[in-house]
Amino acid sequence: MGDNSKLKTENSKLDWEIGWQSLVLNIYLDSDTMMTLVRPPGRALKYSWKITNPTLQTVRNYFHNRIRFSFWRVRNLMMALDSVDIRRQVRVMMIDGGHRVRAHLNTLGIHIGDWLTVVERAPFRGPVLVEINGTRLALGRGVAAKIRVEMDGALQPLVRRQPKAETEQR
Amino acid sequence: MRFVLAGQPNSGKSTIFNSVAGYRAATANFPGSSISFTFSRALILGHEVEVVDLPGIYSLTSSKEDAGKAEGYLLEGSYDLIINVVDASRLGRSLELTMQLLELERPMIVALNMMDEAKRGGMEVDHEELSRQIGVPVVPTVGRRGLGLKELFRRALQHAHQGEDSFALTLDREVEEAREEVAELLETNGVGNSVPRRFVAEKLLERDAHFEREIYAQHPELKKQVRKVAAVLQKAHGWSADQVISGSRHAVAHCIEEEAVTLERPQIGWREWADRVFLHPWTGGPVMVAILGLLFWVVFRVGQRLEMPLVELTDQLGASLAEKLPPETLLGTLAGGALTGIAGGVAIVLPYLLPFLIGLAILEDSGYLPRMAYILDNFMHRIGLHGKSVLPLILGYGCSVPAIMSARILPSLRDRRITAVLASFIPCSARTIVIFGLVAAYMGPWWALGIYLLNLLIVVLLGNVLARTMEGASPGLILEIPELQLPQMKTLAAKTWLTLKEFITIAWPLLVASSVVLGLLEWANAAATINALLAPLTVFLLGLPVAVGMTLVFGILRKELTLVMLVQALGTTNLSAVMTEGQMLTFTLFVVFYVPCVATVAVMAKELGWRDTAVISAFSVVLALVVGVAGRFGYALFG
Repeated sequence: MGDNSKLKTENSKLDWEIGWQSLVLNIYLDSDTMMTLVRPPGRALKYSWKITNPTLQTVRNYFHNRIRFSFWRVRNLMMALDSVDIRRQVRVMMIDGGHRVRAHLNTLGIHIGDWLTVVERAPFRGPVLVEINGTRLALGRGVAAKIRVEMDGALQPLVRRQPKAETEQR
Repeated sequence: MRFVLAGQPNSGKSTIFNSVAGYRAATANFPGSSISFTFSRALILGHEVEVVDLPGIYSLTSSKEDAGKAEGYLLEGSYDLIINVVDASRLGRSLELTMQLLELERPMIVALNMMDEAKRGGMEVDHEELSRQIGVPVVPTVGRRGLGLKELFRRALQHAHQGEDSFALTLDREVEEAREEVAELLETNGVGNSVPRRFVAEKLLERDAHFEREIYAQHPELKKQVRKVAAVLQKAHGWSADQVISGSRHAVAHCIEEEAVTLERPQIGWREWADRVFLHPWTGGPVMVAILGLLFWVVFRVGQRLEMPLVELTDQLGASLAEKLPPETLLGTLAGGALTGIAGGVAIVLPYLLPFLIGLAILEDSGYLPRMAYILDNFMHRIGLHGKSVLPLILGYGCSVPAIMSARILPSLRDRRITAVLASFIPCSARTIVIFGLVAAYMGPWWALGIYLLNLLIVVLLGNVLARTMEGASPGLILEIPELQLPQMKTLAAKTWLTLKEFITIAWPLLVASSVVLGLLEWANAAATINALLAPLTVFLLGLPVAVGMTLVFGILRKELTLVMLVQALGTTNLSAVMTEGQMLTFTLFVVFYVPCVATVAVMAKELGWRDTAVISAFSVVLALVVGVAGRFGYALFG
């Protein structure tokens, strides 16, 4: 679980993660009460409550607004690759496309959590040229729009790093 | 003994292959330049070895059809050793394929190619460390300059003799567990003996379409059990099983890369500066137009310089021959026909073909073509395709056959079909010869340029119509842009020779034979009958001389023939004496557009099916007629 100070609300711990297709927010109200909110792709904000304690219902209205604000923040911190300026380093957060696009990008070296640099942008909505691990790739605007990135490390991608011990035991 | 060269696209497999096999496989600096297998026998340290050059694959799960073939060969083919060619400058990414190849558990060695490029990029690769990490021998090479290749094949032979199988690397714990579990399931059901079970297990977890089809057809009960294991994996990580496996592989590859590579400051050289100009939003387009214009101008200039003295010489020869053997006799006809065939090849075809082939080879080897794809992506989207289609289309200016075959680099079937059709309408080098030898030589280069632009316009319109009628959207451009390279004289010469050899061994004899046949037909007055049959088309519609009819028939064999046959049919190399400029223009336009040559039709039938090929051929004749008639009257009105 990413621990992110920017998105913490005042009285509770707010934790979030970005899934492959959806945005998930977990709010820890106390040690055993958690609200889970899910924004499915392309749909309006919907969230489900898992609150057992009825007194906490009063908190709901307060959180309702905070949560909407958080989603707004997350959405705005994350941008599509086709709108990134040149010479900017960005980090891949999610790939919106289907299985094939994702697999193709994976084989060419674009994975979630990788840093890449936008080298050049062709005019008139032409392709974007990115550099990733020393390789240069031309990505059409349509493809680039599917790659969501963030700029300044404000968000943490949902990447499980390999524990070092396991990968080294070859 | 058989070695297989396998690796990612543009990692230099064909270059290494050519260094042992002589120049057999066409190389170029863009991903996907090899589209078919090439076999060759070579003598290495006194051992006869068969070397197989496979098309590049990004991974063993590639969904593309052509990659599927290379994958199939790696899985089931009989060979003694895999030589995995790895681009050292893209080590991390290439290792992901290497790891999959290791899972095949066959003897394997790694050629760490493009060491010079890696060094320029500031990467110091420790090949011994790498070898320790992946457990197979690693030999550093620079394929382009032939460094380390001797050592590579020595080690390959040694390793193949030992016959030591490679071992798969260990991935994430959960992945390993899932893989073991599925492998056990397979074992109890008795599946998979030729291919390692763990490999099959991994493919099933990744839901590889090919393996699922094959195995679930025999053991449908396995499907549920494997899916269950995949679901466990998915639950543990939160993403689908194929992503878990691919992510885990990426992480391991990254770890190995970190161990083996020391990073330094990359050198900034002319390549970066050139790229800045080539790809800059403002200068990229104009520079591209300038480069293509320069190519056109050089071909025209050089061709013209070479053609004039050669034509004079062959005219003299023809005249002296006619004195000794009068063309009325049978022998005279035969000799005259043969001479025209040879002379046509030397004097008309070669002067334009040679500089054109060299120019195209420079474009291919320098790596400028993928940059053109980048610049033109936007424009191609207007047609309904995307930038990658530019590669086959540009290759189409060389020869339609490889162009249509190279359409396979496109991932979607729809794009592939449209691009193949369009590539057949691009004037290939044979048609270029007609354009240059007739229009540019007698009417001036601007007219020739005009024909190219008109052709381009028609191709664009056609593409637009096709893209609108065929359903499905274009998936968009994902293309690797390789580093710029200075083309090497040796490769350029070898490459030009490869194409030229095909002209000399196939087209030239055909040219001479057709010339003789035409001479014979004329002698027997049969040509007149055929010409008379075609007269409504040639004389009435297109306003051409009657004698032209036969040449168009021969043009179906090869398009160069039209020009040489024209010389033969009209009886002179100085065509301006017998044809008006308007007729030349009409003739050239018709030749450029009508039915692609036999070889192209054959390859189109293979790629698109006979029905579509027949439709396209019929359409091309109608199109050629329309354009020809338009050219005739257009020239009469405005010329």
